[in-house]
Amino acid sequence: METIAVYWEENIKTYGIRKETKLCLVQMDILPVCLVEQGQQLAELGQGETKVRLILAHHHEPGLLRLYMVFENRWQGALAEFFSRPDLQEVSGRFLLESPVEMLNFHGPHFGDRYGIADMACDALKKENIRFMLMGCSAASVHFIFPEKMAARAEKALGSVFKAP
Amino acid sequence: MNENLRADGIKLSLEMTLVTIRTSSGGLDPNARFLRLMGENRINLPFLCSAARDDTTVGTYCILTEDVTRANNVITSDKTVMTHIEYLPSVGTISVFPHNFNLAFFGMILRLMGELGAPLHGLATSISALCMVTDFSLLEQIAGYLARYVSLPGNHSPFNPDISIKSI
Repeated sequence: METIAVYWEENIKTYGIRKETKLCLVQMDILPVCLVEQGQQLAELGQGETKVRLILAHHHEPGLLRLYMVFENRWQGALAEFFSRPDLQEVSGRFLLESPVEMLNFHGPHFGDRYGIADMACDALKKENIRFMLMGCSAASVHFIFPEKMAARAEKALGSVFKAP
Repeated sequence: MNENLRADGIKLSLEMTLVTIRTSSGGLDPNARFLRLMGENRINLPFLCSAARDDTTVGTYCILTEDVTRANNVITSDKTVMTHIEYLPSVGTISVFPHNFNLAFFGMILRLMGELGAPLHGLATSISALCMVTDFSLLEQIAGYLARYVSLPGNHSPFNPDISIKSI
């Protein structure tokens, strides 16, 4: 059975735009042959209280998976210490930690099934000359990572297109 | 069963094509142009991961197979996008939820993917799910393998969705 519904809105409704500051970004490269070892490393790191706020990954260049993980800033010392362990250096790819960074995320009805959401968001940022470091969309979620002190401006820019309750 | 590996469900996507656009800064941004073309032509991107780092921007996108011909026609008419684009056909996503922002959970899932030798073309967390892009032909096998190690409730929903929603 096919059901067709027409839906249009002047401002795209969201369930709210959430801003998080005082975050750090970890970037690491993974070779496909090292997925087991590096997965195990991350599992070990996660045995503590460390919670990850966002994970994104794609092939930065063919054959090299670049992983981006965002954590609260308070974990950066523990993260740097963990990834500097000599026994991990052998299987770990290049590790890079940046701090502080900021995040905006929002979710909306059927965002994963609707066209144009990412374009509207990027266009709103571009009009205000705001560059993001990372963007991720999956299911009904949209996430942006920005350099320090950019998220407030970005939130305002996105507010021109997206409506929070 | 590992205590960290509890989930409420695993969901598999329909078949898609992975599009990657790599570019150096300066001039028109093919990634922004690509997003505009897809939006204007009502083509949904169920998965997106974009990184603008140093002087390089890499955008990775999934397009449903049923939309690929239409997307191709649009892309080939645009030189800015056309010269930077790479395609990987027949991919799909496997989503495990909820992730609970648990790094140990993520690490274990990565390890299991590695054990199976399943390629990982992309990955993104949503508010609830860990969504991984891999070969479409391997989705069922991966779901079966993960289900051996991930504790799922007895009444979990089917891996394959029985309804699909499309924005027209």
